[in-house]
Amino acid sequence: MAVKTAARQEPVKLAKPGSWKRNLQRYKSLYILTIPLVLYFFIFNYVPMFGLLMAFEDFKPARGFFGSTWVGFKNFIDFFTAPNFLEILRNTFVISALGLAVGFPLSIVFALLINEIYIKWFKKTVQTISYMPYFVSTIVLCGLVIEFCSTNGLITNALVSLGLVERQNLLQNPKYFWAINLISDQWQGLGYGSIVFIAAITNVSGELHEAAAIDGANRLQRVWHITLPGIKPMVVSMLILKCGMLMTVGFDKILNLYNTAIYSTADVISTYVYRVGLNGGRYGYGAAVGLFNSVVNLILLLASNAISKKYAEQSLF
Amino acid sequence: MVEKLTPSRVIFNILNYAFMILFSFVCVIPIWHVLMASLSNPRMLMANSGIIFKPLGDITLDGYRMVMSNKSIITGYGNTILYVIATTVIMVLGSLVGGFLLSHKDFKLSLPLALFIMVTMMFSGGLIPGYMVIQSLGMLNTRWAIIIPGSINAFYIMMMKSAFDQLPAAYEESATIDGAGPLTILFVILTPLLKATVAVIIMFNVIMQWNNWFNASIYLPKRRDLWPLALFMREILINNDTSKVATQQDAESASNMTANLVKYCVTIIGTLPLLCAYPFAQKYFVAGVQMGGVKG
Amino acid sequence: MSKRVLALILALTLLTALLAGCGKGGNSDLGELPEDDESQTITISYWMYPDDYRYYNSLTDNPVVKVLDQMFNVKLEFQTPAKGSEADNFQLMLGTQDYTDIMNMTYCTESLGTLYEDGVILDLAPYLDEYLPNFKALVESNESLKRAVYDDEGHLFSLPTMDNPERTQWGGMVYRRDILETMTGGNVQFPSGNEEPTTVEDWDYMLPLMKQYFEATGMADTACLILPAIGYMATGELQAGWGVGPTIGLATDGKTVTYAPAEDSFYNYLTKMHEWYEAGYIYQDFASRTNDLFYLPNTALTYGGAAGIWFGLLGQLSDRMSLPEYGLNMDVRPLSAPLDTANGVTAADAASFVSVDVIAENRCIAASVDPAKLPRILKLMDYLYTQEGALLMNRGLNAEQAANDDLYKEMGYTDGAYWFDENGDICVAQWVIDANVLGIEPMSFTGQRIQGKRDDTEPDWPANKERTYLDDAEDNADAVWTMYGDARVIPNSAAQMTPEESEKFNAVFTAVNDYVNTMVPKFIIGTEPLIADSWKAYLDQLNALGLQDILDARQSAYDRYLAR
Repeated sequence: MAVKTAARQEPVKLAKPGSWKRNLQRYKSLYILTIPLVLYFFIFNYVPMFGLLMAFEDFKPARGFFGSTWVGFKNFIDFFTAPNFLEILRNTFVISALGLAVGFPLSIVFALLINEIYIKWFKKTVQTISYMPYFVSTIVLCGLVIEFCSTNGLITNALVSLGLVERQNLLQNPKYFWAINLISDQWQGLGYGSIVFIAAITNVSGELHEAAAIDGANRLQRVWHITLPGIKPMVVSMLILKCGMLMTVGFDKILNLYNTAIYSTADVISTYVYRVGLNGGRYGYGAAVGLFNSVVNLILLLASNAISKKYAEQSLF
Repeated sequence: MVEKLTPSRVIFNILNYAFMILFSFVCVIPIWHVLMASLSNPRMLMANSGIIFKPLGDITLDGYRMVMSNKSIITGYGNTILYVIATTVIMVLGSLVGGFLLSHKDFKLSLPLALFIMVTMMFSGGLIPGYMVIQSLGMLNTRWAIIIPGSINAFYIMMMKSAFDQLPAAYEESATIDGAGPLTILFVILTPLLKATVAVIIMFNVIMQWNNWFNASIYLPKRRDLWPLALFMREILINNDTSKVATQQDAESASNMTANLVKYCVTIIGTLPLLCAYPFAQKYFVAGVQMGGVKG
Repeated sequence: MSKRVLALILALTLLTALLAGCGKGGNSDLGELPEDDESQTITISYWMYPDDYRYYNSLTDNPVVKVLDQMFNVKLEFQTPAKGSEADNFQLMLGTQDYTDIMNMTYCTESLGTLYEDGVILDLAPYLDEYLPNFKALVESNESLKRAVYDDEGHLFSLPTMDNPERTQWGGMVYRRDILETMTGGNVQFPSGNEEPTTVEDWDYMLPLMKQYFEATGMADTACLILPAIGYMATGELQAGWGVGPTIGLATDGKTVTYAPAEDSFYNYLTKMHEWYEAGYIYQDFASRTNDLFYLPNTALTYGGAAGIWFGLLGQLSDRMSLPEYGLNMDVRPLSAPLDTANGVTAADAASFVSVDVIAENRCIAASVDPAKLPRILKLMDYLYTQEGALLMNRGLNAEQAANDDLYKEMGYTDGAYWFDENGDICVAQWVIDANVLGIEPMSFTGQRIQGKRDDTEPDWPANKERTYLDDAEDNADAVWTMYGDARVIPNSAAQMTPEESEKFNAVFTAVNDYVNTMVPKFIIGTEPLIADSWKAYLDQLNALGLQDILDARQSAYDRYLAR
């Protein structure tokens, strides 16, 4: 596989560096294909970005973008000096990093385990069932979690009888929110998240496996030396993308799950923006917080891309 | 390929199968709970706590009757199916083209284009400017507002890109030598090889569109007849939320017992079609996935 | 590369300018209005929050709206967002300057004064005499209406829904009397010596009885007292017993604006709540029941017979929640705030209850309205304040109108929704009275969503009560719930702040509220100890967040209202 990837990069050397004209001639149709795509993203994604101006304004909807008072970086400074700034930042980072650190390896392992099942109907059934939670909408999931974690709820009952917690509503104690959120996320997303890896694993050439088996490699060795390297490009690019969204936490989920008693661990940037920016009518402030979030994400994305380029010799761009 | 059964292999298999059974159980139970609750006696449902394995009391379809009497549900189904199909077509075309362009290392614009597209994953202008763009394009209160703006996104393009990256360059080279143009290469030669990834992004998109109520709530305020199912469902769920009592009249009509039942029924009505359709779709999906085939 | 970026930025700026257009600034004055050509059908757009859509797809098809359409030769076109997206949609409308002609301002966070200054809405005062005679007559007849409708400079920004101040309360605290009767063998004796629980002591007597009762039933989830998720009632019913006002209310002097969670007596309230929580009297899951769609503590617990005290509704009183077929016989009674007599709280301190304001929903006319349409719009709006209009909007169609309406005909209501008997008393159709039982949504047959004044032809109950849905239990409830008066409530109309005030207010209110809502449940649950030190730290934090700014802003608005 590695050999083949190298082969793919060869044509780069063939094209004469800097020769736009030749490139244009050779890939005329590619250039033409680029136009609608660029237009699409320009119109629907770039044009609305003038809304980021809001972050530097005391934005009043009625006055619009050009009638609102320009306040420079005041909104940003307000956010950085807000009493719960550090808390929100920490929560956002921890919740997201936990999801990545646990969820990402878990879905690869799950994909590998699924791949080890030989009874076809069983494999198919498990796969189908494992995606099912993803079809449950977030709002329903949260309803169930709240019910199960209540003082007399199913999960609380189980944990109490195991002697792990005192009887209480688990969602009213700031200590448990990260765990509850992580586990419910994994319940919903594990099977679904592993799809891409299952797809990648099955794309790994079977001949290599057979050849290795003939050479006497056992199952684990083959997974380690053939399957994992085979899905590496997919894994790395997914990882970079996820790192680039490290400061983005699903908004719906937290909003429907948290309550005022556990803001100290559950409040994240997106819920804060919603509560203060939209509900509180402070649009400019909300936009500033959102923009800060985007910038942090961008930095993380660039950093992870650079790191991956250096160590994994693969990058998104 | 026949595997030799070593003792460690047997233990691994037993554990693996046991884990899978347990995992499946955990996945199914909450959904089963909602399904059974939707068929339960509403009064007993209220007094119940814990998982419902079989309907409480006599099986009742009252909740479903109430939900289906709402004619919006049928309208919503029709619209949702239309939106799902339309956005999927656009999304697949866009992602294939996008992924192909980005993965083409010797195409000079691939890097700038990648950056151009990636930025949209990071920054968005927000609601108000987005609305103004749709408005100035004359798409407001039309189906186009749902179909066009949301369908192509950077994430799917990046996924396709990494799929293209994995393909051996030889395919394309030999096709080029045979005189095939890039479009032929993309759609005739490469796309069939990437069936699995295409199937995956289709599934992502179908689920996302199926549950997407937000765009419609923003862009179709005057056209209830164009709303997707998800938005109607959300209305029903919120409508019955007695904690948001606004007036006496609202409160009294909402606080009857069936309100609780209706939630479960709406959930099932909104989720079941996807759940039922999936195993059939999976046949093609798995076939696509197994192209590369785990034969051993 | 940098050239590319530059070009991009340039293009962006261009497009921005194109899209945003020129923001309209300054006050709008339409001047003399043109003659209204009534033979011309005009379309009037109207922003309204959503209705029940069981019988039609849009408010445009509401029977009452259709009558109005015909009467004034107009086409009312409604922009109604999805439920749950009202605020988003309203803010979008303002933010994109894509206003409808008439706007319901329920979801507006901005003060009307600011909107006028920004050129969003019209001042309607110049049109009063010519186009709004009925409205004017009604407002001039009532001092409190006059105070509520005009601002300091005599501007008229809104044609609001006017409430009937005598209207019955729709909800308040209730308790299960039957539990107490069962547990004491019919010999309920409150320490205060009263028939009904009135003091904290009485509650201390009542709550353990409820707890024992629930324990004996073996039900999984029960609650003697259901608290709202934030730990106190925003409208103040419960904490009033400790001498605490509504969240933002008045001190007992009726002049000073106070913030309830920062009052000294709130500490006493929290102490008691914590004690009750520890004792298991308060619903153990109260704080986590915010956005929960499945559990619905109120309905699940209350209708399931698993709650003792909660914020109830008129329709839940006496035996209406009983389900004899399940052996559930409830006697639900209204409950007043428990007076904290131990700390010397008297009835005078406890004054606060859900206030019925003289004006409810504000409706404004957009400054962007076509002046040619304005006369007709105003005439239509003015009609809503006539007796005839009020009957149409509140009661629905009369027999004559119903005979021409498809929905009424389809439902078989061709006699209309109301009529007058030989004495001139109003009679309400049986299907309206039984609407809840029949599962009809009565609002769909009336124009209550866009009414002008609330019906003041309310049947004279209890003398006439068999014709209405009101009965003794409700009559009694109203008396209990309003026992301590509303002296500490600030009327909505007195909350209209100037642009500067509302800016000051908005800047800190969310942060203060957020902090309070975080801390109060913690104090009650006990994750944060409630001692003098932590209470002081809590108050200090509130002040640091700018609590005084909130109070100042509301105070000056209230002072102006008093001076009006």
